[in-house]
Amino acid sequence: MSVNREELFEAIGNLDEKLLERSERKSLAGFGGPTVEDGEGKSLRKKGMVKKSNLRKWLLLAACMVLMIAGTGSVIDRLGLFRMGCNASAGTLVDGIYYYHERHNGVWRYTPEDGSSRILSEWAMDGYQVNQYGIYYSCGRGLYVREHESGKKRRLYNVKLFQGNRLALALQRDGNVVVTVINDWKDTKFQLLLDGITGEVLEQVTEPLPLSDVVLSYGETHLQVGDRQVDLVGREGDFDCDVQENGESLLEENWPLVSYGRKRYFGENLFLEFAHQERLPVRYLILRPDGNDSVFASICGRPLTGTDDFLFFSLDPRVYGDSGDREERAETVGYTHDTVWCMEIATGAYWRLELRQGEGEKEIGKVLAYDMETDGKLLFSCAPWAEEHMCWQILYDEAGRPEALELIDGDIRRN
Amino acid sequence: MTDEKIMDMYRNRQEEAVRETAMKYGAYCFRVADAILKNREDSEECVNDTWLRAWNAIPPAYPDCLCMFLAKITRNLSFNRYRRDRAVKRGGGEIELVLEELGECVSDGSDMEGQILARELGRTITDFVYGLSLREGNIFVRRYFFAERVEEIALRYGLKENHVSVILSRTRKALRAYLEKEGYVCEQGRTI
Repeated sequence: MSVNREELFEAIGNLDEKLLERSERKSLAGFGGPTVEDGEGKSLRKKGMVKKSNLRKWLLLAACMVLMIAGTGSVIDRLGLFRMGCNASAGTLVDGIYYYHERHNGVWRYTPEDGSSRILSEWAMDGYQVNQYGIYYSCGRGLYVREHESGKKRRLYNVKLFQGNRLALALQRDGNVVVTVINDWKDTKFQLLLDGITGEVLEQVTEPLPLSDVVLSYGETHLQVGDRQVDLVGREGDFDCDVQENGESLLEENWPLVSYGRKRYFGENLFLEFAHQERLPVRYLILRPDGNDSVFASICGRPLTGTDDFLFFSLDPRVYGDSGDREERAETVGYTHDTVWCMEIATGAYWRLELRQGEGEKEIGKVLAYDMETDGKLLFSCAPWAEEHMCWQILYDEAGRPEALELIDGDIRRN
Repeated sequence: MTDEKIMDMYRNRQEEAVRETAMKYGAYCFRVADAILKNREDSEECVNDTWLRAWNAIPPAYPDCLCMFLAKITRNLSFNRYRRDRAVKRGGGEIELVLEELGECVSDGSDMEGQILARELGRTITDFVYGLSLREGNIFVRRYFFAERVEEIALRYGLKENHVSVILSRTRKALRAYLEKEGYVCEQGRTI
């Protein structure tokens, strides 16, 4: 058997992950630090003994080091100091206020009028989500909420010690919270539905299951669209789901099932992606609060954000297409996240938005649009290779269609 | 967010898992891709594709080290992209040197068939790297998995560049001998 150099390079890609992880860390042994084999070690052994008082001193020091390192580790973890993260996800817009996470620096709020201010420190939280009532966040075994109106923080729920050691949260559209209680010692998990205001346990929605069990999450399968309650009903062993309302399927006979986990809310509407799509356009089932549901095909791929009427993308849709070489098209039109495109849901028409310099703003510079968030008035964008979030105002034409974005702030952290 | 929590999200099929992964490892994966492709747009695309691959892979995969699991996906995608783009001479850079060096360990031709043999060869190389000293093994991984430049490796480990080059040369010879013994290289193939 013989291999060539490219196959060898490719095969090196299958190296044990422990080797890869090891190479990320320096080690004193083998990199010039003292080892048993070098003179320092040998000389100690040759002398043959270490005085008892020295030994006690070293043991005490070692014990202190262990305590310090244990504490430092939790500090480092809590503050995320060594996270290799970046701004790949936009924040959340609620009632005109933009809530976003700044790496190692907690959760901030921003408005164009007031600028940015921190409202939650990195130390205080594991994960967070925001709705109209407040910021919900988990910290260890506790679920907390910081109310927007009063600014006060209170604990909603605490996992009992014998039940678990941590939790994950998922906000529902109706304001309730689905909490996943995790017990790493027993390797189990279960889910509760809590009242989002009082923290009262409304229902235990799953029995304890092994952590490794793959089950459809309650929060991902019980969905609200306005006042409608819609359920995704999965087939055993599969992630494809039927969509049901009051026990009746909303899918027509020749329609495919929808893909679990691939749902997005744009405005008040719920977009459910049909399963097993490998080509463009990406097809969705749109569920609307008024029941006027429809199927939608997006030639522009998956939208990043949207409203009831419009969707927003950051890649030039001409990169996609049914024919021709994609690389050639990318050469021509560019494969960057520095443009913003808009699509009208009703007609499928799409166009590029003009990017305008705002009043008092310097030249726009590099546009960051890897991910976006909008409420139809403001649009925020960010990218993994930068820390900034950009704030834009959406400008509409006479027909009510977005025609341009005017830059309000190229870096909301400045203010 | 810790890897354990992110993995829980994957297990529970919460889409936020992808966002959290991108937030935590986006820049890291970008560096892995860019080391091979030296092209921002291509690297971004490979990083984007990494998230989709990870979403489809977890579960059933439950990696012990999420970061390296993602790095492997990104590297694989990036190298495939590099091979595809080579015809139009886009990107490249350090990867060309890396391949040239690896060419010293093997012959020009190939009769290797498919993914299964690539995995077997991967296991063989894993055994080889475990047999090296800690320093040699780490330097090998930085150069031939991550495609890092010699000067970057030297800086990382506090060594001189020439020292790193010597270690790499020695390791390549050892790898060649190992692959010959394991039957992946004909003895009359290219020599150093």
